[in-house]
Amino acid sequence: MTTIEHTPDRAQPERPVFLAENGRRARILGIVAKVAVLVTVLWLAALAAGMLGFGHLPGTSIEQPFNRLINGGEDASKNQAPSTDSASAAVTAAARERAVRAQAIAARRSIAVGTPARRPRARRPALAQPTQPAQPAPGQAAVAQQPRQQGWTRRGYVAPPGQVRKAEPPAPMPTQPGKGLGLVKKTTPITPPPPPPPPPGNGNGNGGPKLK
Amino acid sequence: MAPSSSSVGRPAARWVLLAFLLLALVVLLGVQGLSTRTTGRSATPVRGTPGPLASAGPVLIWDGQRLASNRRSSGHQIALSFDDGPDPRWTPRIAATLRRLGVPATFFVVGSEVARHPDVVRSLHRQGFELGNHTFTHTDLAAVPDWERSLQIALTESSVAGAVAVRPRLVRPPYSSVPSAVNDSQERAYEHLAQRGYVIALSNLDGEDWRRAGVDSIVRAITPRGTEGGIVLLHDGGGDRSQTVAALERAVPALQARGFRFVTVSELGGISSDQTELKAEGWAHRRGQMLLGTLAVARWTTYALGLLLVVVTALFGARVFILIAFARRHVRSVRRAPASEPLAPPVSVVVPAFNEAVGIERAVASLAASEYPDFEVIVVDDGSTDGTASLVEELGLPKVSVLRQANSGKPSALNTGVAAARHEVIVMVDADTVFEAETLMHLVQPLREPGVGAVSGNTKVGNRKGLIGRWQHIEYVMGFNLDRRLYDQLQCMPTVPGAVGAFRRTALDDIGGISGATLAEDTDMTIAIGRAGWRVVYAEDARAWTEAPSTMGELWRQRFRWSYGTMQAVWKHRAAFWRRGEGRIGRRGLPYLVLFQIALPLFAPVIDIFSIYGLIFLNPVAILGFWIAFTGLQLALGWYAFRLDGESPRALWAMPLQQFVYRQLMYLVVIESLLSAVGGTPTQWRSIPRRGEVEVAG
Repeated sequence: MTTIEHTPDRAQPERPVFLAENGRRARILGIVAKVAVLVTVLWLAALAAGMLGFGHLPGTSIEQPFNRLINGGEDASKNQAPSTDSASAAVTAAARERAVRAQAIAARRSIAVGTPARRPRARRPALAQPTQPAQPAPGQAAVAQQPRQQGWTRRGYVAPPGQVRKAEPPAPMPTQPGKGLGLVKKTTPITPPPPPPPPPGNGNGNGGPKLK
Repeated sequence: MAPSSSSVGRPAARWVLLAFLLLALVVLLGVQGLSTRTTGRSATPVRGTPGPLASAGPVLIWDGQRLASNRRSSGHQIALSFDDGPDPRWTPRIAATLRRLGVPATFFVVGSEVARHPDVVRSLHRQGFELGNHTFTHTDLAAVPDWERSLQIALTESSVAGAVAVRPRLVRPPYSSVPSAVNDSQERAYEHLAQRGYVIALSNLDGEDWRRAGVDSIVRAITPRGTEGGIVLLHDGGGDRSQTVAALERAVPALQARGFRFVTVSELGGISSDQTELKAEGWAHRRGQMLLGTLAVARWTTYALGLLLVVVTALFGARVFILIAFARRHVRSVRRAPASEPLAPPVSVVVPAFNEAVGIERAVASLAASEYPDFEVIVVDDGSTDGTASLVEELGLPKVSVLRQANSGKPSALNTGVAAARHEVIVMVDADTVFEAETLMHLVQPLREPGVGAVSGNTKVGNRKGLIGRWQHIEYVMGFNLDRRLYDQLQCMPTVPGAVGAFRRTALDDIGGISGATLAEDTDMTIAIGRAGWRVVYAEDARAWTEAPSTMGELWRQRFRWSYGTMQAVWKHRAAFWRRGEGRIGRRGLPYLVLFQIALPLFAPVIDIFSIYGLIFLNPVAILGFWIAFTGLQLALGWYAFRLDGESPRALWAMPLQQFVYRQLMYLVVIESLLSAVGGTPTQWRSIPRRGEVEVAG
């Protein structure tokens, strides 16, 4: 057994392979990483934006012959054969209740998010619940401006919205606290009166005054 | 061994970035999977009793209180409608047929198909055909919750808006048919959509062309029996639609001859076309385009990954084939080698050691007990602080000497030992490695050939009790009994392991000693010897038992050193690829290293990614079959390697488990190594604590 003390030659240590002389490569790598993150974030953002829905569609106008069917029971009864006018004969009482509930919920949601009631209610004496309004799209103004659809009259207008300024604030709808669909409480008149509706064709359609 | 002077902390930012990109990839594949997963073929629901809409017409809207329809409007009108498109093959043919016949039609498009073939939708729109919504993935609207129903419709709407700047109001629910077939749950689903302003378009005359029952059958099905027309349901996507085209050619003229007038679905329903196809301008259009763009990115990325999967699978298959072929050849060549007198030149055994107190005594004792006539053991203590050198000295073994030096790294310690060695043949051994009594004798035999400059021994895992030990045991057996036999046959051995290797001093002199430029000095040295024109061979009987890392952290450190060191060595010797006289190592060994030790582990994650993707979105049985075949092939390869090594194959039970943790760790190691190499990060030798758990089996 022998033991020897040895002093290694440290004169010229070899330079490790890949070792950067300065921080340039690391900076480039950092930039590439940031670009990758940016591109990924943009892609994710675009995906999220693209996947968002459009929400409710504007109201539908069934001109021939649906308008008669939907907007006026009298007209419908006059102009159409009783057996073929609608699916009402096939709709059960339970289905009707379901529809009314859904309609009320939809209406509540609409109000909660400040969606104005755009489409006038159908005149159905037997089921005179507030209907779920739908937003008109730009260019759909003519649909809801039909004189027979008198939603604007109940809101205190003397002419269809978009044609004439509101004369006075609408009268409060009858309320009964704790009852109803939760819709009535939120439809109290707004003070001060809403600004004049935009002129037709400005992109806002012919919607009535906002409820909140 | 000794750490180098420069070191950096763990670059956590890389892992955050990697995790983020991985998450984005998961989202991307999820989007791609969801947007291509159609839930089933078209079918007509069958019910025994008429449903709640039995007396309703085919076009339904929400009248404020219920679904309402117009039955009377059909009259002598027929609206042709086509579902499940756009299809790049059949939709244009059907459109061309309709144009030639001069009849309008409504195409209810599937959103995911729109995203894939927006040009077909644009063409339909340009030609004046009406567009409707048929959900995004052909989902049964009655079978999904409200949010998913809304999403299905909204995504399709966005897709169409992106393609043609139109928002279709008409919705044809998949799996729908005539109004009488609508059941209660479907009615509720349709109500949900109709309340939001959509128009539900069912049908009166279901062609059932998806059954492909023949042209006559389709023509019969879409021909009204009486004088009242209605909406005809046909398909332009989902399969071969040649019968549909032929049926149109026959049915349309015949129906026209009977006085029927062809209209769009909206016209039949009494709705103006500008209400069923709302304009989507500005942001709405751009948003749709963004959806199409992002889905296209997802699609192309998935395709690219799919191609990569093919390449990786091909590489893997090629490797299996090559390994087995060359291993068999090696075995045959060894058996055929003529018997000769044993070679026993004087040997110097160099043992570099840094803080190896746990195992140095056993290692040196095993060397000293070698059944070999003339040898010396030189332990080079590289500045240990745990009394390694003293322990060796206390053994008082003859033929063993100790060299002490200030800490300067393993290559320096090896060079010190080589300089002190008295003999022509030098054996290098790690300080945690235990030799068998015959190992030295087996190791030097190949040096009988004057062209052989170095010999690789057969390193075996000595601590294989835990799962990590077993995994490494499997890896070592396969690596040494398959890869090294291949290298031997191709004369391109890239690594003589530090644990056990013999060198001709002349070869070491030729390369100027052991370099400290890489973290894998053994690979660096072996490639350099190969470039110097020496052969490097494998001696399978020269077994040495080493202690493998026993925790994941230790394994990570060891494998990073190997992976990064291999990259360094390949890069350092890249000139061998094109230099004359260095072709064996340069054009065989280096490409093999790059392909199978760098590229394959780097891209192998696509196998895992696609396995998960396939299990969720494709046929899970087929994917499971692929996975079983993949694992089975590996097991077969492992069994062959174990058989060659004389090892019991029982340890192979742990091999399928490698797929879940071990392999992923190796991916990360290669990624970390690559990033360190590209970034030029200073790296250090990451020492591994010893436990002295080596057991010599058998």
